[in-house]
Amino acid sequence: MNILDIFQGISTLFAQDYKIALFRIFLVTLGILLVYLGSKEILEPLIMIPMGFGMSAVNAGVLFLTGSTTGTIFIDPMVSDTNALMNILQIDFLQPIYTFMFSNGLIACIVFMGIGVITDIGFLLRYPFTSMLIAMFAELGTVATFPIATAMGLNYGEAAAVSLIGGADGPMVLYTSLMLAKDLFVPITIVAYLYLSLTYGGYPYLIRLLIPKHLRAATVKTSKFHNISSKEKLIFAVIANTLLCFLFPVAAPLFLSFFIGIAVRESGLDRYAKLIENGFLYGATFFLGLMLGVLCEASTILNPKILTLLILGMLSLLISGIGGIIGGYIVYFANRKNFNPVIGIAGVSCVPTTAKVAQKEVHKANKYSYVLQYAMGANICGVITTAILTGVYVTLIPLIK
Amino acid sequence: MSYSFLIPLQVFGLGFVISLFMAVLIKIMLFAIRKFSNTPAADKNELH
Repeated sequence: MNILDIFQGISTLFAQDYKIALFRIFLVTLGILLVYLGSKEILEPLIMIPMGFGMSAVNAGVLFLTGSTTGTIFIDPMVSDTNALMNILQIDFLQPIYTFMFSNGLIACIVFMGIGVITDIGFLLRYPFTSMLIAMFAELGTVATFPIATAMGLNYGEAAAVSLIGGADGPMVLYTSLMLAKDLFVPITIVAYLYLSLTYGGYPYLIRLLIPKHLRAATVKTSKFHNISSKEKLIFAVIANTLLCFLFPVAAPLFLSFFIGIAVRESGLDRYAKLIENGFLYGATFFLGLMLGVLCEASTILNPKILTLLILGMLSLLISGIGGIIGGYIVYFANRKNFNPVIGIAGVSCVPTTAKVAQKEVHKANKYSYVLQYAMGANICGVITTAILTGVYVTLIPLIK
Repeated sequence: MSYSFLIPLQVFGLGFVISLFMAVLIKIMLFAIRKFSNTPAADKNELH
């Protein structure tokens, strides 16, 4: 007996194709690096720490299943036969979560529900036109990347899923990938979450590059200020949810999740709000990170399209950021310079990161300028416009296929 | 025109129209709520 037969994680390295073996070692190292970067808060720790652990564990823990077949006892995302699935559900410890929460998009909806609970739509209701306009411009990457992606060889579904990275909304990318590009949903979602973690570090440079300091320091003057009541927010949530579900039934679970989160918050249902925020949202985020990591098994993820996805994901977020700033400039000139174009970046709907980036950059240029309320309006609108564009893509693409 | 360009144009166009419609809806809704209840007059601090 070979001593390495006892330590199958190592012996499988020699039994597998050398490309897969090398990629396994790379992913183990990458997983450890993600944990480190997450713990240092360079990347988003809530996602990156469980993801890094999952990634390194699944690539180290490969064993011989039957004969010379290798695999893991974490999860089998490729299983489709009902009998095989029933067997796997009793063996692979994360398979129940994948089957009942991931492959049907439930986890994306739960995360979106949590976002609804922590979102104050008062900012959006106070400045609806300004916010919607900026948010639509910040969707530029979501549409401009599509033709580039098809030119690079992706089909329409894959192109739509990777383009939605520009919407900067993780649950949307996950949902679209599951609906339109199931074969590529793991790499697309991982690329999305990796890049979304980097927006806090990258967008300030884009702002400084495209907006001169005197404009970054601009203050915004408003003459009157009225609070938006909870009743008004609740009525809007009900109307918007019903309307959007009528228009895009395919994306209705997403709309319902987001607006019910808002309704719970505005109805004063504190116990539900705490349950959704502390229980559902953080629970779902933890399992989202862990599952994404575990799904990064070398033989599953080794795909020639990975490099294309990495390029397109970055391009999409970059174009969206530029689009948001263009939107900011348009509002700036339309309001006779009574606006700060930096707010445009907040249209990229990475709640609340991009709004915080906008306020931080403005504060650096002028410590008396306060734009967070406008930035939050654009930010929340970004979530809604991304949901709308997701609904249009998910409805439109299957009609063309 | 190729679908590669047509699809994003349709997506952006529809998204834009629906978003602006929602902004109009918000204005009408706030106006109606405040008109038929005893809350203060409609918000005047929109930037446009």
